[in-house]
Amino acid sequence: MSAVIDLLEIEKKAYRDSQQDGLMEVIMGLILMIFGGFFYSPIFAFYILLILFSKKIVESIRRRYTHPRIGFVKFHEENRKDALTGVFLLEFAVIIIIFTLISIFGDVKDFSQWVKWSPLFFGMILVGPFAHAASRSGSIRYTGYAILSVVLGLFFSLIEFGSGCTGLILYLVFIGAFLFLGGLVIFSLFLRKYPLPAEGAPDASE
Amino acid sequence: MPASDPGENDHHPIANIDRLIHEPARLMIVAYLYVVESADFLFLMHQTGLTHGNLSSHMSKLESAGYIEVVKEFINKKPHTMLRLTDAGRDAFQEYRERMMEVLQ
Repeated sequence: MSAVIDLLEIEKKAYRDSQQDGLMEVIMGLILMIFGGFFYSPIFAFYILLILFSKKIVESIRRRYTHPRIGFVKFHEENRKDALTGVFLLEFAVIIIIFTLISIFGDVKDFSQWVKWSPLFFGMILVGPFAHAASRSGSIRYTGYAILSVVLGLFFSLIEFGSGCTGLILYLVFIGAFLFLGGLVIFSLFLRKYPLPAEGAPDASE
Repeated sequence: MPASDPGENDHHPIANIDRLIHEPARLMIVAYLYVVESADFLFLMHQTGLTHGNLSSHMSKLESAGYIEVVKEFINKKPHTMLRLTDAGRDAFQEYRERMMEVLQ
């Protein structure tokens, strides 16, 4: 019986269910929108604070809205060394791809070319967290986000915006808004799917 | 065909199966706790589809066997129960899986 139990699938389901509130999308969208929207603004420092406290913000919202509805689960810590190696390899691969693209379509010494291709650079960097979430959850939702982030990155890199970082700013605001609004919709559906019982969440102590 | 010696079956891998884990509801609970570090009562209820009473009863049996650790605490003045697989529970589940593999192969 147990021999045919797929522990990986059980772990994926537990992870998928723990992320079904859409709050990851909300906070990620917010970070990207602020990064893009306040690119040239002094309020940009606020962005650093948001990144630093994003985990705590999500945890505090989950304590209030998610855990009383579907419960709380703590997963085993991931190997930090493996995670850092993955991030490093992804960034290295992305730089190589962008370098190759600029070599084909322009001059690698021209800084404006790097700015022009920056939406695709960010789009491919975003594949990292989405692919990680997709492999842990087995959810096609994250695969969709990964594809969308690259396709939009390519789209905003190919359009001519004149000067500056307009393409990158528009890309970040657009993908950020998509994730933020999508996350809010998922969150509201989650609240509707799991209404809070009047007598409170069931517990073994009752 | 001669009847087999009753004691002979004791050597068969299935004879040594951990019956406490073998029960389907408890097997689900242990399997879920095996893949996570800890989970609360409500999360396990949702994941396993067990009722409050069923989960409580199986939880007590697993706790008595020393397979799971149950921590009761209060969050915002409300009772909250966290469950975690102990080392003994982890070992028992691994052994159970190995024995079942032997049986099925």
